[in-house]
Amino acid sequence: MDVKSQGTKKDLLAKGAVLQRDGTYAIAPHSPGGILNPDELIKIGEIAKKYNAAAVKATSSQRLAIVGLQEEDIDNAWNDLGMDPGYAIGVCVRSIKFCPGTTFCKRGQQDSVGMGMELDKRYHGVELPGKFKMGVSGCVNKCMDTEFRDLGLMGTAKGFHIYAGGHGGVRARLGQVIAEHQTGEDSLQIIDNVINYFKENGKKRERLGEFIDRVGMEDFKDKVLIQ
Amino acid sequence: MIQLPQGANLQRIKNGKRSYAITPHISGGLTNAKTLKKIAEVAEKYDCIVKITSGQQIMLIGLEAEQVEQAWQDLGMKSKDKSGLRCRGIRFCPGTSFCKRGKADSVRLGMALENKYLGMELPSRMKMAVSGCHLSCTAPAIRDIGVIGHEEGFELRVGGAGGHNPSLAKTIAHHLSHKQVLLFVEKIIDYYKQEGKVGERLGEMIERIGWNEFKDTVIDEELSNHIGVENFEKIAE
Repeated sequence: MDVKSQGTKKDLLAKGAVLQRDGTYAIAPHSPGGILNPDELIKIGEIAKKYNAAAVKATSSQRLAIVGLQEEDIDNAWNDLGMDPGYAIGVCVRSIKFCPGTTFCKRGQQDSVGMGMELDKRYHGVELPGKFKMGVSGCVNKCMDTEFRDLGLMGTAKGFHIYAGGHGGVRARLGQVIAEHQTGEDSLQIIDNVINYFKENGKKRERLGEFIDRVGMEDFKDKVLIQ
Repeated sequence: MIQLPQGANLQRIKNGKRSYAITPHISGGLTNAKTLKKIAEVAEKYDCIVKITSGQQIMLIGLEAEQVEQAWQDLGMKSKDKSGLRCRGIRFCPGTSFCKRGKADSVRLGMALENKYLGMELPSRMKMAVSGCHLSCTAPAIRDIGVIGHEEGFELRVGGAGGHNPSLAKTIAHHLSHKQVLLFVEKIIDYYKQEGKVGERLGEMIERIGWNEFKDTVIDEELSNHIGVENFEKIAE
């Protein structure tokens, strides 16, 4: 596809529209944990057809992207959808991925759906120094690649292990466990501490792992763990 | 005795009730409005919960055993066995097909890998990913086989894993063409099939055998003839 047809166009952050190679746009309605009901799925299909989308893509972030919309159709497409655009782009808390956990999965040990939904409600879209991804896995299999999230939770029989500082894309690195077997409530407190500490002290475009390298793991833990 | 449903995953048993999930395969998560509507209609008919998975698939949760076969028929799609010790899935990004940042055709390469390897029985499970630029949206650094597209060609990484026993993949070669990647992956898979122990992920096998030994065996005469020596990554043990 011809990159030149993009002209001077850019991503339209306020409209949740991501510029494509050929100058069209993609939108990806917010679907926490990838969970939708049949009506929403039908709606997305209808909108994709109505605006003649080039493709629909199920993304690794547990969202459906409608690809290839004309700029003038974006507002109408969102109106028709009646869904939240969420924050697929931008320097903020991006997707909070979670597995089916005890809600659906035979292996689940913790309620990853409940925890993921709560984190989504509290933090999705919150602006931070760098982009920030979270994942909640309901068991030791860590389907959400716990070590490769800025903050990753893993369910155990007794609670959650919390991992911090990983990421999976450019310069991938493993996060480290900072707390074990925490209750849901304590996990939420620790996560809140991490986000606030990072928000106040992180440098521009710094990911949590780089931040931890700079301040030192021990100091980081002192600041965020429940003493 | 009810026969176990084919092409379905058992969900959590609640109040003694068994239910199942099915996942109609869509390559790289790419589909069109028509197929999406079809999937949605089936979800509605059987009152399913829908989950978009990290594996770029659409999963329909909450079918009863006796509904599974009919649901597959309604979909008009075939179930693909991607469970157990097999090549599970090849994730790829929109690449130069759609993305403004794409440097390489990740869709074409992803499809080629999928056609060849998806569902193939192997010593352990295997996951692959192709990214069309260095931003690595499909996280190739944490897949058994990961490919990253650069302006100068593809970079090939091996031995990564997310999940239970995480590890980072190492670069084995760069500046590869589409064809060279396919040949290289073929050599790696052949060797893995031959040498891998049951349940051993590719990265674990490489660790057991040693990086240099692995590299020297995989990069045989045929591969050396196809790929210039300058393309192989020089990594010390």
